[in-house]
Amino acid sequence: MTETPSFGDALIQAIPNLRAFAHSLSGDAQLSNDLVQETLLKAWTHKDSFVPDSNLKAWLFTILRNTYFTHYRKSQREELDEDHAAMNASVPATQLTHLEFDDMQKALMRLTADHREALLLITAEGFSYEDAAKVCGCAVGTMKSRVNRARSRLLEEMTGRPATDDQEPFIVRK
Amino acid sequence: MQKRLDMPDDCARPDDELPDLKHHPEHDATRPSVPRLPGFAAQLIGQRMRAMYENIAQEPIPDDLLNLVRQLEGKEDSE
Repeated sequence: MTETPSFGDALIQAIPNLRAFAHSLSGDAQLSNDLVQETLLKAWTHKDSFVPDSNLKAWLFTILRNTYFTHYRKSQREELDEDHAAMNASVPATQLTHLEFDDMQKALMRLTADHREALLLITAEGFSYEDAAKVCGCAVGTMKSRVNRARSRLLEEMTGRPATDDQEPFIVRK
Repeated sequence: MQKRLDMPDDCARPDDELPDLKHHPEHDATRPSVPRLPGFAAQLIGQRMRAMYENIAQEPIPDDLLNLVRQLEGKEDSE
């Protein structure tokens, strides 16, 4: 007979994915740990409001993304944008297969936050469109649109050319 | 009144951060639709994103985060 994990165990189990989402969303390793810490504290404080047997991961991701947007707003947004622009200015347009992880992160940071989180939740985290829409508080159709636009924008960032219906294949260099 | 966790701390983002459903670009009928990416392009982006994501997720959990949860549990147990 397997023992039901405690709420604390469930939180610890979720930490790696929360950190990956926070880091990818914010582009800042230190900030991501702060965001996860705040998320864990909020989750623990309000754990009575979590509905048992519902989607704990989606609940935690919702807390985290809202914590991030609260932080993002409270920060001086112009300064953040300038920092990101300066950080990304040196990223050359390059072939997708040549990108390193940090290049991917920088390309991600060029997307709007809405598009970035949509792409992360669906493509990287594997949420359903329905769950991702709940996390972000938007309609499922909006989520699909955001993911589609984010993919196209990311491809433009990484290849230096716009995505089109009749796009020729990349030249994949080894 | 219980605080809602599915809203930002002050329950509102400023207008420039809140998606305006009426005027949001994604709902603007005059804006051309985004072409769907060829399957291989979406697949490559997905593979690269998942690799980056998993790379971070596989990092060891920082001790301060683990300790935080254990302290919260311990505090509750002692009450």
